[in-house]
Amino acid sequence: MPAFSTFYVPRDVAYRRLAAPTKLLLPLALMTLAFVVQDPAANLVVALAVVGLLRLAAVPWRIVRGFASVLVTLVPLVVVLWTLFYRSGDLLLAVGPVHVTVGGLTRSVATAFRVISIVLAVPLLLGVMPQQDLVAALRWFRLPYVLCFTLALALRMIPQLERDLATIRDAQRSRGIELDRGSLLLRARRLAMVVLPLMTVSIARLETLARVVESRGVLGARRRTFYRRPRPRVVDVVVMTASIASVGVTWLLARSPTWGPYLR
Amino acid sequence: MRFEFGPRQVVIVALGTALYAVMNWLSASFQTVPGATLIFPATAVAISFSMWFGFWGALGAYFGTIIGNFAWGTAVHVGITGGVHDMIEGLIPALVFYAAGDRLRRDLGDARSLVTYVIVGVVIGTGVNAFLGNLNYVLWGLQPFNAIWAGLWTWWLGDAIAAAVLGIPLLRFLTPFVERTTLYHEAFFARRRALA
Repeated sequence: MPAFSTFYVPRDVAYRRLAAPTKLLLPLALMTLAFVVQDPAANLVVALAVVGLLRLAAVPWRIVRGFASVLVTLVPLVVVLWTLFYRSGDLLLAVGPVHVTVGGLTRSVATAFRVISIVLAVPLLLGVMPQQDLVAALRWFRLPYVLCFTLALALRMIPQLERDLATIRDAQRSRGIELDRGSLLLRARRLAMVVLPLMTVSIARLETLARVVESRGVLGARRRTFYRRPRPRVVDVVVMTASIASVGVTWLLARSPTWGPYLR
Repeated sequence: MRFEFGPRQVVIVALGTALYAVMNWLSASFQTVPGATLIFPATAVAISFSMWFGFWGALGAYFGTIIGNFAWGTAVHVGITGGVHDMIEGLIPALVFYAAGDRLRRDLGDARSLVTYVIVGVVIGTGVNAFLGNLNYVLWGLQPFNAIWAGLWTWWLGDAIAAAVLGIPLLRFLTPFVERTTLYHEAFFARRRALA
């Protein structure tokens, strides 16, 4: 999987020109839709919508692949868990304690598509805008400034931690410590040789950072202004409204006696 | 009870979030079932941060879960509720050690502190997290209710191994270092205890 800090690759396509709040809301709406519906066909439609948007957004395959690799283990496990542990409807197969039912099989396929939608919606969120735009979008949605600042600080720390981690791992390897070999317990114990220095370095850096935050008056009560603010256009308003409406309408339809059986 | 919120608490939450997310990310490659891994190093971050920085350290685990959860193919929605049980995992041993005051040492420097940590941190805290974590997956329809017991053992084992193999050396060797910084929290919500 690519490093957390390298998901965003700039591309000049129409989807990328949408405002940051739109690019945040759309994947979140699709994730929510994946939870609202619970039918193989309906979940497949959501998954296809996510794939279509990934193409529209021109998210590089290497980024998508990093996330999609999780599905190789996740989808078979989800299918097995739901098929074996969920019993509903007609019995299809009974071998000893194992009972496969129509309901179990249907739910397993629906959940597999649900998981695919959710996993692939993540690169649609992280791969189309830089981290500062993500935080600006959160701020646009009126999240408290301290929360946005803390998240921005955390996101800025992640690349630094990844670099520190790589340096420490290389340093340990140069001493002849094999971090990726041996039994699980041995590897776990050797992980301490990486985690301990990483935390020491990070905490030592934290004191300086606390003084910087204090001296810049981050927690002051004054009203703040921002250099970069998302400015949604008409198309953004339309897309955001459609996203919210589609979730709301689908939720209502899923509970109606007429459409419910097709969606849940 | 003293309550303190300032730049120190902000940076503690931010670092806790970042470290938890990076560790979460690392452990995703050891995933066995949805939400469970052979070893989950982020557990050690949640526990040690909660022990050193009280509530603010645990809050880092909460936000870290939301951000780090992306690596597990779980949605933000799942992370928002899931962060609560990851926070509880660190809070259980932390609350016991904070409540005990000077009778227990956070650097696990005596047998009583070490045994207490193993019971409340390695066994109970991770067990509660594994159970609530599986319930969370059931809540969001990612796992059937009957599969809770199947998922619970692998989840608990991954967290317990990390709490023991990583958590103990972290607390043992880094607590004296953290105590010397201005970030260390003597009280659960504040750096200094209230004067009697």
